[in-house]
Amino acid sequence: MLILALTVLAASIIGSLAVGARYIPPAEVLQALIDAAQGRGSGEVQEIVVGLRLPRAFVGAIVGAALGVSGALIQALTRNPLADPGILGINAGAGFLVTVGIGWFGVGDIQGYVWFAFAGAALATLLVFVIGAAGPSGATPVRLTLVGVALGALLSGVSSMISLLNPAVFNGMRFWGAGTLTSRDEHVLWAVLPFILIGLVLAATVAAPLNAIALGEDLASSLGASVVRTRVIVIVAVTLLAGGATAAAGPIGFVGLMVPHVVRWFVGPDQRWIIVFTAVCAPILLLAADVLGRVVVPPQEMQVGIVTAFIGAPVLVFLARRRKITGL
Amino acid sequence: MPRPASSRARLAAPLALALLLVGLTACSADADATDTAAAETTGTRSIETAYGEVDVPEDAQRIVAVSYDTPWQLAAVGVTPVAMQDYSAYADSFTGAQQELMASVDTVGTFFALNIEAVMAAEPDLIVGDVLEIDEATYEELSKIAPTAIFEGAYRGDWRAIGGSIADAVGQADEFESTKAGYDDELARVKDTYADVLARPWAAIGDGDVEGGFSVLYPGGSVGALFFDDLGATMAPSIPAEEEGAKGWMYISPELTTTVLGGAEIIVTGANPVGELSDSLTGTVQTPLFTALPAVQAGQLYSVFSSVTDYGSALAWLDTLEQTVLIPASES
Repeated sequence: MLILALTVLAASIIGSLAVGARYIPPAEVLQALIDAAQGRGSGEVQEIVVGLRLPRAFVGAIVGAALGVSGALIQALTRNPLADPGILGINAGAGFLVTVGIGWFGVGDIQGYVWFAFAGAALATLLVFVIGAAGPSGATPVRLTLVGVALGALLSGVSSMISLLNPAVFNGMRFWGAGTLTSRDEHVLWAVLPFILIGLVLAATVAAPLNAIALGEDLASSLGASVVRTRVIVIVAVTLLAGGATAAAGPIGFVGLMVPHVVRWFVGPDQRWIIVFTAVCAPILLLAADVLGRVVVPPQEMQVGIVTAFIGAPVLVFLARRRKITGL
Repeated sequence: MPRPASSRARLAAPLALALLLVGLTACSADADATDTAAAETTGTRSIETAYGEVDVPEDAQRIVAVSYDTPWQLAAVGVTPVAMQDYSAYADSFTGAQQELMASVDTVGTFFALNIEAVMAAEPDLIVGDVLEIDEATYEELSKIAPTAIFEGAYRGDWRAIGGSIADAVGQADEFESTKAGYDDELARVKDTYADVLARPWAAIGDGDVEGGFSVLYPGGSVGALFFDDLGATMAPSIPAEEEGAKGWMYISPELTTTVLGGAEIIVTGANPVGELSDSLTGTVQTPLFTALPAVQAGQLYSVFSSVTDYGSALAWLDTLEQTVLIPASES
């Protein structure tokens, strides 16, 4: 099944290179890629395939994997099958600091947004963890969820207020806030790739302990799993993954919620397989949504965040009606 | 022990109250009579507005502008409102003269956030605006304060139609016609002088929906109408037809930059009053696909401040356009 998923992922990446608002024959797409690999070639086709579509496909793949795996980790940590990165206030934190960056530091392009978004995601996660850990019962999943939801609502509200009062911020957030892969070049990819790769490695290291925690914290401890350490690593991984993804593409919903959910139906409750399959399947959804957004309203493009919502919501409802929801 | 009031004393209080009410009513009647007299002195006339017929004073002295473009449309015909919207958040997008007016006039809320109490505090004898921001419910509220004349154009920002109606409402129709005639004369001269430049294929663009993208502008929008309706510039054949029901602009995928703009010999973009592009458009015009366009390669990419709200600013736009686009383009 993994080979099948990997094959579909490869097809999605090829589709992302071959299909766009401007029709380019497959042979020309291939030639442009070969020319680029050999360090030669120029012209419009080369610029569209190598300059626009190639980095966009890679950014889509890495952002999709990051969103999906961060969703899987949050669902496992909170033992809530409907959790996603937004539940810890990460998207709201990223959006808040992007708002501040545009309004007070004059940030006006994607390269600038990336760092503010990432810092905001990290700050929000840190706040959620510090506030959620305060008190005698410590950082329980329920406390973290509640603090995340509350902080997310607060930060979103403040961001909206700033945007409404400042036209420059409103205009800037119009570009970043929709969630899109358009115009994401190699600079964006290189800026977030290290953080996302570290996040994926951390996710792999906590897969087994999360399986133990799913049996109950007491039993997990008796099996040798460190509950506190696992939670800390999960929080750090989610910050890196969701923060990096949001920084690169803006807030994109449904991927982190839907893909782990669907994957669990097929591979069962083992977090090791859930994380692996989610890392492969989430980019498929994001890339497919992005390709669809390029061709559905020519000569315009529809932002991928809108398309994932259009695809994700009915598909999730359809599957939920057909399959029994897998518990955590 | 208190003595019970006599029947005469019991009658005295209601009688006094009744006399007081009669007196007050008489005063009120006097005041109404005074108002009526004032109205008769100044007179009213009936005009047609978007929300029906409205009686407006013939010589309004305290006019409040409740829509975004209205103060400039009033100023263009020599009328200074006593209150207008708060534009301070958008100050950079206004000219020096507009900023001076903004600094000297009271405010009544911001764009799409009208403060009814502030309108009342301005004690207007006439309120004017357009339907974009003033819906019928708001109109009803404003009408309780003063005669309210709200107008509608053929499209959003249709300053010709709305500006003309507002000028008529404040009794400055002649002044409006005079500025219109001045613009029409100058427009005719420019069109005649630069007919060969205008016959070349043009494209007008603005910000897109995403970073690095752009929108093409059509005559259905206020800026596109200036270039393609008023000026009569020829739209490049490579630009796709405007979709039915569109708002005068259409976002274009960056992949189609050369497809859509490749047929244009002259490309104009919107800019702020000092000619600077927005951050988004700055990024767009630096992309490899954009810099490869024939018009850009030939140095025919121009930025023009194109915020026109009345015939006065239209005349200024025409002058700027001649200096920054038409003269250089005619020499190329």
